[in-house]
Amino acid sequence: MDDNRMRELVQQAVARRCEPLAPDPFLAARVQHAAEQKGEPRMKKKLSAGLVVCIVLIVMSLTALAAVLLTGMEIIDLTAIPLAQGNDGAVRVNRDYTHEELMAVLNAAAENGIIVEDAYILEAVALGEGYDEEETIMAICRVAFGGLIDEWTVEERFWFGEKMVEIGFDDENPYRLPGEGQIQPEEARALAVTLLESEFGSLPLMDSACYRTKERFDEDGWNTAYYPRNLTAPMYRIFISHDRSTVESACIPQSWETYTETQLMSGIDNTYGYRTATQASWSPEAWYTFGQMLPGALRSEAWNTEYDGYLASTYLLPAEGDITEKEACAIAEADAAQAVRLTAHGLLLGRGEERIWKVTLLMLDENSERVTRSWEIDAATGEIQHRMLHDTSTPYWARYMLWETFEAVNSTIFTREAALALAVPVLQEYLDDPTLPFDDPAVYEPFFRGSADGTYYTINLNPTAAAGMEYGRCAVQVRNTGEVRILYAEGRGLTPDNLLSRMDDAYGSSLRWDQSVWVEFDRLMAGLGEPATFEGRLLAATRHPQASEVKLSLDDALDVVALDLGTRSEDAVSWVLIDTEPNPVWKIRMGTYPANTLYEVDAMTGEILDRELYVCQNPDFDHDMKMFTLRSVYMPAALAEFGPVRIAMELTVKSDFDAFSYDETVFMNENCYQVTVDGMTVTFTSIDENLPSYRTTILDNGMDAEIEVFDIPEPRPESEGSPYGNG
Amino acid sequence: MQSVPGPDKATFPQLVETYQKPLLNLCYMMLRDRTQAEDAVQEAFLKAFRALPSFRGECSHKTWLTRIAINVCRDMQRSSWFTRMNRFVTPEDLPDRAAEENPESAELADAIMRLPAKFREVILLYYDQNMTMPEIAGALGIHASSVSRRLKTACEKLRNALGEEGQHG
Repeated sequence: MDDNRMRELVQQAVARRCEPLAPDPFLAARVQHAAEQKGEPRMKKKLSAGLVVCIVLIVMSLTALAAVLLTGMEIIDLTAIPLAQGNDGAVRVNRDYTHEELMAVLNAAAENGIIVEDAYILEAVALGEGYDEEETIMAICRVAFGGLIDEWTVEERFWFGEKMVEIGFDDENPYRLPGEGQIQPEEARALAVTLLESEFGSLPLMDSACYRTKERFDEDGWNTAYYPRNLTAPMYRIFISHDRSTVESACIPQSWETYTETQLMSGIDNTYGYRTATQASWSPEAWYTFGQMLPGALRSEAWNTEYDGYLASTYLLPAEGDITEKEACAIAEADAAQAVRLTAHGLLLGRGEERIWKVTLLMLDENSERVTRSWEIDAATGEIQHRMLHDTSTPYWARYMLWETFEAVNSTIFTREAALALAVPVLQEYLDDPTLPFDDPAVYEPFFRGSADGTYYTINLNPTAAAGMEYGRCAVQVRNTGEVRILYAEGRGLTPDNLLSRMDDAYGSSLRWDQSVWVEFDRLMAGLGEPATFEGRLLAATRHPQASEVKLSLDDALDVVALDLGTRSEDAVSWVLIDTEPNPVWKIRMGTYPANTLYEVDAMTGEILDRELYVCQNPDFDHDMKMFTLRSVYMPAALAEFGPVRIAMELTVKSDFDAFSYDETVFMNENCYQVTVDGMTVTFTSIDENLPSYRTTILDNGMDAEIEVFDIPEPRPESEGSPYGNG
Repeated sequence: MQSVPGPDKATFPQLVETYQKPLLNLCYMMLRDRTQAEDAVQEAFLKAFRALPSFRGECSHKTWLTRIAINVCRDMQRSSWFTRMNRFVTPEDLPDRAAEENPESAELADAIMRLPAKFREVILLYYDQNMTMPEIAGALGIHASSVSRRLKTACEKLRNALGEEGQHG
């Protein structure tokens, strides 16, 4: 199975499995509200930049003192492995070095001339933190062996695999060495080149300046690939079976007749390789090649704004008389006093006749925060021409072009301000209120969501806390063509139907309001007249006492339901105290699986009065108002509102475990069931031989049902009965 | 590559809209529980929102958010409540709203969800989220070479799991 097929299957499987998961349209607003409620984030521990510099200097100076240098393998065997094994418990394998252990390993490597320059590890060093054992060992190997793991030799990979077993990272070594009678590594390498040259002529395959080699050995034989270090040379592959009976070789030319800029980027990645991890690490040579070939590329997406910036840029090769990339980085680093460099890279750009190094450093500032800064440095004189701090509003691609190029391209983007200006008059007209102050930040706080292509914004206009509950939420979608589509709009004034959402905005999620907020809700609701909606009527019919009026506190009530379910009280999703006879009731929703569970608990005696499954992933089926009112209020109202078929479906699904696993959609599917109604009796006649039929008579205003199951098919093997009991 | 501006408080909702569903899918496949996944996504965005000042664009928004979400999932998986639950039986019980999964697809989804977390992560990020090796490396805080190695092992485990059950081959 190839990669593309695998990708297709995995995406299909995940998409289908996750199909019922629906995004929450108000998540952004809720998150922002929650963040503000929780206050400012804690500061990370401060780092003394001086201390970090000291550590680095000590490490570096130790290198000079080393008399006899150990190899990377010896360092790992003598230091890294014993430390990794030493911190494991009797049962549990610890996968991280402590900071002290990490420093010991890195110092041992540095003493022997192996300097690990890895942004993550340097950050851990600087912050006084530990780091992953496997990654640390691999980082040393990358320096010692050269390149990424797939560029290591078979012997080096096998050795590394053994070390991973020794530290408990892997159970068994995934890499192999050839056994007796099989082609040994040196012979395999020589054979591969000889066979390819006999077929394709003399080739510089062993010249590391021309080709990168990746070799793989497995049960079938030797696979070797040679990747060219320029975009025009062909790639070569050869497979040799253990008995030499099968040899398959190929010369794969690179075709650049028709390509998009993203394909070109991918080609650059493959050809030049990564120096660290991303496009940010392309060499000046890679950028030069990219710049040369970009005009011939098709634009992959119309919205790909940075494409314009790349196209407007001139990428140059370093030449005699230029300061080097390393020197340019050093100038920038010296300019950034009081900061610790994590990574550095530069590319050479042309500005008319000038040659400019654009250097970008990822650094830790004096507060131990990661910051990205870039400098534009004259390649002839070393003079700094421009400094730029990449703040949160700076697109990442700003670092790959001159500042003025970036600014010119960036100004063409459809801005939030322009989108809002288009939306405001349309909303005012729709709500028939030209005075609605959408552009007043004291009243409305706009939240922008943009399409990936930057051609439209969805704008949520949420009233600020200062505006109180007088104003409602609005949501619009605005295109760069000027088209405005209203998704949701609530104007001025409180009504019994919008009270809950207005108070949600003001007090946070009603799922977990303090009971005093519900008391206030009742007070406001009483003065707002008759609700027009089903939801409003349910809320108006539900009253809320003060928590102090009952014997059972919320914590006690949560303990009661947690004990009943065998979970923790922290699993509660929502709660509210509702007034009813003879005693008030705690309504609690627990986050159980596969369905949540709604509880009604007598707030005076602690007795569990009702326990109902709640199919939270299907709000059309189990209405979210169920959380906020008593079942005895909801069911009769729902029966009147939605009719007997919907209620019969719900009662049937929840009474039969097999039916429960179907969901109501099966009942609604005309290919599965024929539905007939006779008063309060609903018959779901199966027209699918795998499904039983049901005749459900709704009793007691929807509170109960008599369910007859007939035409029962052969038992399904996976059905083991309901964990909730039947009926 | 997207031309979205760097995230700040004003553009944060844009990030949520763009990445909420992919992260929800990812968290669900990681945690095997809808409610937990929803909580994880909310928590991830909350952490992201609070970390906005420290995001300097050294990786893509997707990589950044995915890294946060993965860490939230890992934290949740470590919680005592989570480890007590037998979550392997639950996905099959998740009702489908639109269409039933075909058996092969369901089996593959189950096999992915049964993989050890570190292998599940790379399978989901590489194949489902279409992230590149360097992006995954950035999201997981490991090297691209480790991603490659884990991915290879994960694919083998996946093939073994499916092969043992006589499906997919």
